[in-house]
Amino acid sequence: MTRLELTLAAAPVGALDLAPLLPAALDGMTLDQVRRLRLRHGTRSSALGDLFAVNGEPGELLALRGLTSGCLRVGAGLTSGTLEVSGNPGDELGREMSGGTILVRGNAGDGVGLGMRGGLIRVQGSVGDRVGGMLPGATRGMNEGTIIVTGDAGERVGERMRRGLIAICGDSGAYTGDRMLAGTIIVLGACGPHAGAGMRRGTLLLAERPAQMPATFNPSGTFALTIMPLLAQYVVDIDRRLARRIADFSRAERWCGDMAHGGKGEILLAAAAAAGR
Amino acid sequence: MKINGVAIDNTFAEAFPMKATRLVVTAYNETWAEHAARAMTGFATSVIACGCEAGIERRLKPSETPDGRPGIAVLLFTMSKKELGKQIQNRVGQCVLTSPTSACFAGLDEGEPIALGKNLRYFGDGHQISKKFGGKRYWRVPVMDGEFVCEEMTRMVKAIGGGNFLILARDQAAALAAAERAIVAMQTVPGVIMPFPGGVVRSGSKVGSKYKTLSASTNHLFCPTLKGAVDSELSADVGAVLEIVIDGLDTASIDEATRVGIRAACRGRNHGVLRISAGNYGGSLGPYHFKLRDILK
Repeated sequence: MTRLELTLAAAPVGALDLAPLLPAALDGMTLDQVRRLRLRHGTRSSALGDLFAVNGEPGELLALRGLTSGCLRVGAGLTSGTLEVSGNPGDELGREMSGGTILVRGNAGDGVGLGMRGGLIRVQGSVGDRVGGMLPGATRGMNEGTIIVTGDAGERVGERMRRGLIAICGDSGAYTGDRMLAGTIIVLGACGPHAGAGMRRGTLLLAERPAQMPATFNPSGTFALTIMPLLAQYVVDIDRRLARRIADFSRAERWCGDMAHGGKGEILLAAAAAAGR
Repeated sequence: MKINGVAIDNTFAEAFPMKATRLVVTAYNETWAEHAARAMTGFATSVIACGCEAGIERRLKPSETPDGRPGIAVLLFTMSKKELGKQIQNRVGQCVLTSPTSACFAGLDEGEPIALGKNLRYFGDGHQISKKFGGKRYWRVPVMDGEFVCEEMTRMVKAIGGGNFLILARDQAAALAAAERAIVAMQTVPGVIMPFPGGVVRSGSKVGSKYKTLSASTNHLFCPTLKGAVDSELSADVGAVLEIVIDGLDTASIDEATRVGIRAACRGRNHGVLRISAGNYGGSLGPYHFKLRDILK
């Protein structure tokens, strides 16, 4: 697989919009053409070659090195190919992506996978608020695809999420699954207050019992749900460690809710977490 | 041509195009997977009156099933896509959904999509839950022992029905023992089912009847009790004939099942098998011809 490597050499003045840097968009370009690409930062634009050291050959794999929080919209609109990101990219990573893979070695900002419609985002670090959330003015959040965060996540994970899978291997902030429409969110660490608030459908899997279960969720008992091995089977090809942790939910306490919004959603507490109440 | 002293007729089995799917039925343990699969494939010996031909293809280990539980692979064959959809819905709905701890999944990845749990989900009366993992949608339907999980779609492929061979033996006991040996061997072949009871049929039929309302009737030329009354296909020493009908996903599977089945039927000493033949309609009705001698070369 051919690989193009772009290493951020100069700190941008103002926020640097990296949405144009997609493997498919650069594929077929010569390195000179790549260097001449204009990238917007703040109110100005610069040639890519003035900001990045360019190595390799454009193809299916694009590596972005040394990114900072000023680098926004990394992989926005990605449809195919692989983006390898190192550093700590800023907000809206993978915004509206519909295919391909983004692998981040570092932390990412707010709005990871905002309005996502497919593909895979793996962040080997922590992320900010509104992972898999909705775009400004939209009525639905993430509508397909998978986001795996090995660290912690901020508030409103999966806000108005419609479909797909978000796994937070660390802690998540308040309002996880806020007004969720459907889909699946897994939190293996501690989950902040108001989990599942306004949830219509969908599944929140919590490995740790929240300090207080929401008042609008009702317990239904503990079950061995047949769907859990299917979830683990899907995840195993992406993240074996996560797949093993899903085994913790082989027996889960099911809470129905949000009863103020139809009650067709669910919070599944891993049996160990449920026993600890 | 002879195998272990048994004459192999220079003839062929005539078979027909069908539509088929493979379903995987799982449950808490092998016993309940078997209950569900057996119920689902019951009354499915012939499309003539059953709507479909169905049977158990093989037992699956937990490592071979989508949900990691013991399972059974089932094959269903029909003459049309519409009928296949109807049979899947009725049989899974009445026999698998109802069976304790069961779940049902597509057993084929290729082929034309056809509904599996897509309509059965409505049994959940609005409480059903959709889960989509990796392009596959599953329905979780609440039932009294927990949840019935069913994949939304399965796949339909072109298949073949009506492969067969006839075991002509000196008496009923010899014919039955030979047929049992054949079925045990044929059950190891993937992609085929033998849809009749125990895999064996004793009422081989011909097309048409003296009675206008019947489209098929007994194959009188192979009935030993009629040897003195009709221009029989049977020699004086033949006392019983049994047929094994084979439905398969492709010709290679039926070839292999036929080969291992005939060889097993002819195995042993004092087996009492006199001839192996096959059922056909002169070659004018079915486009697939399974020539016994070519298969056994």
